[in-house]
Amino acid sequence: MAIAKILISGPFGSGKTTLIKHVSDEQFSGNDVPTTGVLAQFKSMTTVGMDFGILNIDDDLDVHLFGTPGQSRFNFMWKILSKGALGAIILVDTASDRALAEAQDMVKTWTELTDFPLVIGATKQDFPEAISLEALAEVLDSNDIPMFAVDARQREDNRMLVMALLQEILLSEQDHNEVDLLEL
Amino acid sequence: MPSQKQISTGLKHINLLRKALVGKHAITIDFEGMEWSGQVSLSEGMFDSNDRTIPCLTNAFSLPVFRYSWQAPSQTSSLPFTELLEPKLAFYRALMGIDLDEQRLINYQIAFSKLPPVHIKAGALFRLNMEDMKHYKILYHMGLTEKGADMSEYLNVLSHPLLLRRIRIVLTCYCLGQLIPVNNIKETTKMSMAKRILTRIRKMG
Repeated sequence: MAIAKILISGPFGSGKTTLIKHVSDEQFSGNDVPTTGVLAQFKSMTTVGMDFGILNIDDDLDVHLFGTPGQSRFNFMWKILSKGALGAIILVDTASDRALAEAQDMVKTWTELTDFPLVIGATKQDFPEAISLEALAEVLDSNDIPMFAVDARQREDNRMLVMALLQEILLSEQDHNEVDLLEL
Repeated sequence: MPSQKQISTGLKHINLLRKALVGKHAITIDFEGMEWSGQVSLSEGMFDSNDRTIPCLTNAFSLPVFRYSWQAPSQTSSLPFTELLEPKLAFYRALMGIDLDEQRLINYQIAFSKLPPVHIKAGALFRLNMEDMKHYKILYHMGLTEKGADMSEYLNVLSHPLLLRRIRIVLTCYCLGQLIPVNNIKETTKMSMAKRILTRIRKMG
């Protein structure tokens, strides 16, 4: 049985738990406990430990989805988790300054740690205080990392992010000398 | 890509632009229309950032091009630009607020509708506004299916503003090399795993 690993990363409260729930056959969430300290004003409960989901593909392949802890004190785990992963999705709450600052560190760390494909899901784009995708790309210094505006509560959007990551893996591996096939 | 002059029939100059961008050629392209002419220079997949580039691109996309010619240096793969302009930014600026007359719009619709089914390589098209992003995502979703995105289906809309919006999106993706013909994907071992997962998630509906 082969196991493919996909990482779902993002600052505190960005929707990792929901995304994993939406694309897994089985989900094992870390315990949700009341948030304490300064973060309690943003979210009443948070995940302690790690979210984990399994998606059964066929008899020979399972996908393991790891929700990497949002708080920066868990950064040490990223390197361990990234080993052998197919790629990562980073969820960012675009209406929160705090989340943007955390996401900035995350993108920097992930791009330094790995060379696997990344996809960014920008959430809360419909909030008046949300920054534009253009501004987000600048803040995150994300260069050519694909970025989508998504509603983290929507199953379809979450599925699309995972599919986008897989599509990136497929298309980045192929030979791009096919321009002549697209003559107008 | 040797230097040449061409009489343009239709959208061949768009092909040239795409090939130069995707192939990261060093090239200078001169365009000539009825009452306008312009020039863009490209090197290593970037535009020369001068005052002429954006107006020239806008004209080349929105007005008939009667003649175009190009010059490519034979010995060097780069041109000495003082400032570089990213293609995605150039396209955003050139296409922002652009209008196309009915005939031009139909020309694009017909030409793009003839493309084979494609997958979309997600680019950092972050400069799209919310409404453009919505329509980009529709195209992207179509590209995530096994059969790929059918351009004739995507562009089969009646409203002029909507068709214009979608043409802008397709034109950008096309020129930036983000449309990948479905049947041309040569599967490697690493891709097989991703492909199987993708197939499974497609079925999750």
